[in-house]
Amino acid sequence: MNAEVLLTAPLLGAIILWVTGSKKPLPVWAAVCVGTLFAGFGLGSELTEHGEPYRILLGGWQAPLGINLVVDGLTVFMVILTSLLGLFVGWYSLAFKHAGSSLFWPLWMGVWTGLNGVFLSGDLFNIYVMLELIALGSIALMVVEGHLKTQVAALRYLLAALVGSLTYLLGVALLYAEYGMLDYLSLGEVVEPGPRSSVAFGLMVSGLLLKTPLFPLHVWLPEAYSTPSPQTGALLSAIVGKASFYVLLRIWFQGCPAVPTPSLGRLLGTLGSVAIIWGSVLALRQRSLKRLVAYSSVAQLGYLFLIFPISASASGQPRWLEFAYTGTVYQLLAHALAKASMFLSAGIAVEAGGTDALSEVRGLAERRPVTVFTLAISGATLMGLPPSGGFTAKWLILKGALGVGQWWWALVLLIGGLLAAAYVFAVLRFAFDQRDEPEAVAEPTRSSEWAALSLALCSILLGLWLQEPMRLLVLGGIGINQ
Amino acid sequence: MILDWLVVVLLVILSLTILLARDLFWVVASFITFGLVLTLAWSSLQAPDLALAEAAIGGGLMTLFLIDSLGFSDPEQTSSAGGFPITKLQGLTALGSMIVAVPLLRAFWAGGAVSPGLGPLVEQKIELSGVEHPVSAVLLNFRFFDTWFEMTVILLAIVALQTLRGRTPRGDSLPSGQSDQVLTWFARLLSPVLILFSVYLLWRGKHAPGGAFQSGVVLGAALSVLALTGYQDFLLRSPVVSRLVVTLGVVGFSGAGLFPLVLGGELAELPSGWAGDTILIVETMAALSTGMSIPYLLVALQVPKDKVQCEERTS
Amino acid sequence: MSSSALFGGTGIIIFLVGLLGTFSLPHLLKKIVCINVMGSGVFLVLAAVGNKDVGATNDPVPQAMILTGIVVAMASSVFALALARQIAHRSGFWLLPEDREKL
Repeated sequence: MNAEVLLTAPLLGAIILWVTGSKKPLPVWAAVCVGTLFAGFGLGSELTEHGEPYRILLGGWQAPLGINLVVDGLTVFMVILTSLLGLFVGWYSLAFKHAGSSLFWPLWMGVWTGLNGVFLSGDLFNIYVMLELIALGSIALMVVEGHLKTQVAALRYLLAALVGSLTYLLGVALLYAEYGMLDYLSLGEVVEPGPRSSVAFGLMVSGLLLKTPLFPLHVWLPEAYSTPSPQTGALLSAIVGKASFYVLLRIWFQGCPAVPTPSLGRLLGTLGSVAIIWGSVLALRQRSLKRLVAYSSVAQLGYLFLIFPISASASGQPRWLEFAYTGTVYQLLAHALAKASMFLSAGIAVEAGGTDALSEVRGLAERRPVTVFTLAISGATLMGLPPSGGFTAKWLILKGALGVGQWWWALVLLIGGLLAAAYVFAVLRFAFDQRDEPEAVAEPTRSSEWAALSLALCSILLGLWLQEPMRLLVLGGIGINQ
Repeated sequence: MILDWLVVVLLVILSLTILLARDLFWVVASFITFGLVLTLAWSSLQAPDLALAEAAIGGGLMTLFLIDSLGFSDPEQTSSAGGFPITKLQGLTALGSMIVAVPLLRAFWAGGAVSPGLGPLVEQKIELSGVEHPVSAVLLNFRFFDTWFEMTVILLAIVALQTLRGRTPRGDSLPSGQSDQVLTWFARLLSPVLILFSVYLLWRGKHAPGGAFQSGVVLGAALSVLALTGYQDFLLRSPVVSRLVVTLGVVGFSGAGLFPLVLGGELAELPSGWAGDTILIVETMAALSTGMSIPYLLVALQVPKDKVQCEERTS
Repeated sequence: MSSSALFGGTGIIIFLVGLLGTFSLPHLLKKIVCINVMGSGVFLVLAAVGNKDVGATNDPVPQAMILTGIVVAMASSVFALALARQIAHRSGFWLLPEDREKL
């Protein structure tokens, strides 16, 4: 029942809102949020009951003939994350002064459906369809506001997304040619390294790296995240990019576990490190608040790739893999919550100051103390300050890295944290500056500030709550018990 | 076999033309031809369903959209940008691609026998699916979930296109119906035939190549022809109704998918006795909504052509 | 060479040609056409996989995948096309800003 709700509630919500052209999305949106949150937690308790990851046979057909849904710890966390984002970003959108287009809601719910589809699906081709659904919806979300700059960024992103998807699909085709299956769990049991599987894997990974994105394929990101509305920037950075990373995790650890070589893992880890440093340095150089936040995303996504080299050396030592894996998932979740919060806060700051220029953030502490507080908290996650979710994540990854003897990642984590602190403090410094001429500014839309704050608080709460989630995540997923 | 080689050589030549031709018109013309040759390829590969779909979409729809976009010209410089002769950087990347081609080709050719795939399994279970044609069985029963969300993609694309139309909710309007007598007469003649053909394709999908999608596209062609020659009322009278029709496909799939839950089954577990009938109903709804979507796409692509540069070029 | 091998190899070549075009051709319409060419390449490979020689049962799953893929790719292309047209209409060029500087 739960999985079905997760897939159909947002979809039906989108249809109802679009057909009626409704300007009052509140009831439908609230229903979808509540429904999916309950379903997400319900899924979690179902999983705990089962005691191990389980399948849902769609159509009653077993894989490989039919498509199966797969539920494990990671699935549960991702769907709950999506619901939380839907809840708070939606609240922000409803509260925010400038009422956006009524198309925002059906489009976002379409993307939501696709996201839940990716997180639940166990079939490689089905994942392609869901990724396309997400891409189409996200890009449409970007252009609702109608600025030319945003449209250009959107088209660039769309082209990159399409190239990525097609490359991924070619990989799936080659994999199917070799094994005749699309179910990634079943594939995991039979895939061996070989010319076809290695090339197929390479193609799939490349396609997904273009969509996530990972340095140096990230060129479309800064404009794509900074030009649209803050709500869209929040959704894109928090979850849309993570969907392709999620697929990467699945195929790396469960679809083709025997294929990736340690050197490939090292390559991804290195590129991730470059992303962390490069992204943070560029963030420091930005003079626009939203672009700073966007470049910060380039950097923070880099942390996610450290799991690959660590896992390569962790065979036979599941403990370290558990730490690194849990840390990566925490980074995924914490960053999503914090980054979404940051984008929303940036939106509030721009509304207050009238411009996006960083220098205009001056005096924000006086006018929007709640927002500045929110920025500080979400900044804490990005920096990795305890007791935030970001700290827990980076600490776990660090433990994993040190445990397998790859101490150099510790340096990367340290430098990354310092650089993040630098750009967060840059923003806060401006915010606490005195404004020379106190001008009459737009009254804050109070509610929107609380929405942003809630997201930031969630990222902190995540840091405090480790035991139960870790148990759930490690529940037989991602080849830890292999 | 000779035909196969001919098709392959043509395809490669056409793709290179698309890459290297400077003139935009040649690029589009090559692409349209490419689509038509692809139809031959699908036939050679024993995929008549694909040939039907390719002919309808590649030969029909995309042609329409691309040619429509061609008329939207811009400075000579931009239109012939790229292509032959190539810059050094382009030459390097081309060389890079050729190098990359080697492992890719090797992977496909030298990787040992291709797996038998799911063909035998499908053959085993097809009686339980409610249809006789294997591709339809896969699309509408075994991999129902995929098709359900494929319909969702179409729907979301239409919603997405509305974001480009500006804020007027009733901004759905087609270029004013041509008062061209010949065209109107032809439209009146052609549309009923197309509609009949689409119904035939829909019904045929059960036991032979055909089915909801092909049927929907042909229906869409009929509706587009009608809309372009003045019979626009059915589209515009009520935005709510036309939107409702567009969502019918997704609604149908959702209904058929969710209903089994009531009966205690899994999502999309069509009860074997009723599978055939359920599929027919769902397919009809899907065909209708696909059909309605096509004029919608046409409408959405209409961007006001009042830019000065445009007028200068077309005069 | 069997039908499958022939068409599969062609699919790969066409995929690469399309990929090259998407990245190197500045005109937006050409880029979109090239993405479609890429898609056709992938579909050819899939169809080649599903095509079995006389005696073995033909595999309908790749064909179903391609049909779905064609629809999905078409939907995305049409949207890309509409977006490109908007950009061309508003900026006067069928070009991304970075390409416009180079010309």
